[in-house]
Amino acid sequence: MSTEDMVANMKDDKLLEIKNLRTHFHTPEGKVRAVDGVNLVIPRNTSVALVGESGSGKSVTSKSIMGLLPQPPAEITGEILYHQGDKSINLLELDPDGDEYSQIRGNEISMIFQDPMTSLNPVFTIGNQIMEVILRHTDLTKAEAKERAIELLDKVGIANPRQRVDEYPHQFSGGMRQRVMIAIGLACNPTLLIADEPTTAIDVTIQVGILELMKELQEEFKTSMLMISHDLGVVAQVADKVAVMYLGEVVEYGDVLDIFHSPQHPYTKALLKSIPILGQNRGREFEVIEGTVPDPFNIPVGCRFQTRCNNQCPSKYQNPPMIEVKPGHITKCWLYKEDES
Amino acid sequence: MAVELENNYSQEDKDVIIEIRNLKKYFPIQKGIFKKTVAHVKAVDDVSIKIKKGETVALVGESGCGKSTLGRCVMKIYDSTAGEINYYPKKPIKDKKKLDIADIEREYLAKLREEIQMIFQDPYSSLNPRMNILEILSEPFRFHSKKWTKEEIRDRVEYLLEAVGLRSSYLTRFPHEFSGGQLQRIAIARALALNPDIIVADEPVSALDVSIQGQIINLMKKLQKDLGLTYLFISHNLALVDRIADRIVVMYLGKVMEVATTSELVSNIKHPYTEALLSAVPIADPTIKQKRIILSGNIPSPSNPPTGCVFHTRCPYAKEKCKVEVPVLQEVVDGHQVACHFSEKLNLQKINL
Repeated sequence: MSTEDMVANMKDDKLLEIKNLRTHFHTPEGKVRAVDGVNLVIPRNTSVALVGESGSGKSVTSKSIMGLLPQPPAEITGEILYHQGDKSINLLELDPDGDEYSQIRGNEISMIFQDPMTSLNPVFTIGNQIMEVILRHTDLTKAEAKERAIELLDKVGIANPRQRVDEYPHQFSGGMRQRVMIAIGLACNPTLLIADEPTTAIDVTIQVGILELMKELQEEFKTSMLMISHDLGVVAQVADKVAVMYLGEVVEYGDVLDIFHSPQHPYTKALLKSIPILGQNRGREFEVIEGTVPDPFNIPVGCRFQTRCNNQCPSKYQNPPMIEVKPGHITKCWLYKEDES
Repeated sequence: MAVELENNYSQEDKDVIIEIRNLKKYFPIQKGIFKKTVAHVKAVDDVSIKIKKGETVALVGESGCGKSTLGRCVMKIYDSTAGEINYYPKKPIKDKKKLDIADIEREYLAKLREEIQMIFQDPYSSLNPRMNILEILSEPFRFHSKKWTKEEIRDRVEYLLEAVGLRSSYLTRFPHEFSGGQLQRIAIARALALNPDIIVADEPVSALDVSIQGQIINLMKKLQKDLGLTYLFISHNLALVDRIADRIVVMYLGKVMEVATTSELVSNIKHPYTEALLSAVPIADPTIKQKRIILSGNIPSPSNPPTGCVFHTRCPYAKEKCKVEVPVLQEVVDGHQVACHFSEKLNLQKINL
């Protein structure tokens, strides 16, 4: 079974389907294959987490979906199918600056960025910035848009929204600004919300509130979420499905329980062992993944994890197949190829 | 209050290497053309901690709680506003058995730097990009009290590189040729150059990927065992601190809320802030659903801290008394100190593991 068939066979109601996405950057030093053959499905009303270390291509994947990468230097190939009712739109065929893309971006697919300190404009009021999205994508009048902005601020748990809607970003703390970003993201009831490390810049005590809020709103608005994170604790608490990325490829994809309780790919296994968990193995040495992520100009041929893997497969110099170890749980590894040997 | 015995104070506990007493660090807020001081940011406000030889003490808390400022006062990067930081060196420094870092004389400062070293958070900015690794690692020897010959320095540098798990062929390379994890190893080697007693590590792994964090922590732990180092480990990552620290100091708004050994702190929480902080740590296991305590509001401004207990504005158990009376850090169980009026009466949530 080919990879494409396997992805197509997944029974869930699909919202976004990424097929063989390749995002390469042309730089003076050579070509960086930041995303190299990613296949991923985001079902409706589900949170999918993309996890991986820096340089694994998780942010580039999300920016490719949003059409935020200037081409050149980026070169994007493959398909990103957005299923809208019975229509399917390949986002990569749209002009990133055109009207059609603009109608989807911010309206049906919206994004929250990592750093709330820099992603709000300091010279406009919070209300203005929420209204901007609403006015652009709906027929509401200014007054109605403002009412909607106040309603949204209330929804994301900002006290006294009628007064705060006219305040500026510097009058808000980091956690509150991230709540405003969520309000902007949800302003037009998107079907997909992409959150790129939404709580990384925030303290843990504030993070709890933000994560609970995102989960609540996701259920209320029936929004799917693509959450990008390197914090496996956050992923375990929020995601329904997890895709693990390594060097531009998805190496494992499955339900959150399967990924955390029966990881298959050696990288996922090693990653899960290498993180500290509160109250476990106190004082013990860390089990680590030896070595470092290879340099992006010199990605190993075949299995990309071969330089750090304990299992040295005989076929490591060939590209490993995607194997469905159980329905809905896919891993890209030679170890699970049965008709070998 | 604690000023009486100052001068003839004797080291009661032989194991103590650093004793911080009533330390304060206030940053002035200046306004106008005459730079008139209008208020102070009370970054560290009346903190007392003892650190024993060979132990790892972790300072934890949210951003703005004063943990980094405290670390920098111990390093004498900042001049403390009031209080003492008594350091008891292995060997007397110029016949002094005790040095007060907060009020050290200039002639002792260079010697102090040989004994207390620091590792910073971001290895990309803490190593000079124009120096190669040999130059970076030989720099400490230029300021050492002992004179080193070129050959001796090179031998020592090669030994240091090996100790942190790097090849000596890297000596002629520059920082941009290394990954973050390797750079942090070089920063550790530099800190170890003059064989210090104490290392202050300010978030040493938070800029690194998770798979590299473990490597660096394992290295630091190994070096601690081999060289008998004492670590003051500053971090916001409670899961990490829980794994490696011997004792944890929880700070909030410049004050110490709770101090205990790691296992005692996690299994027998006595302060509502510690309870909230630990309950907020996301656990990497989807089947564990912890009851989370969501604190209302934000950290108050340290230039205008709340009256009474500084935590009362966000504490779910706060009563009238908390608004007026400042709780004193008291020992409730052996070695377990808490600053809370109601620690005995509260039945705080256990961590669900």
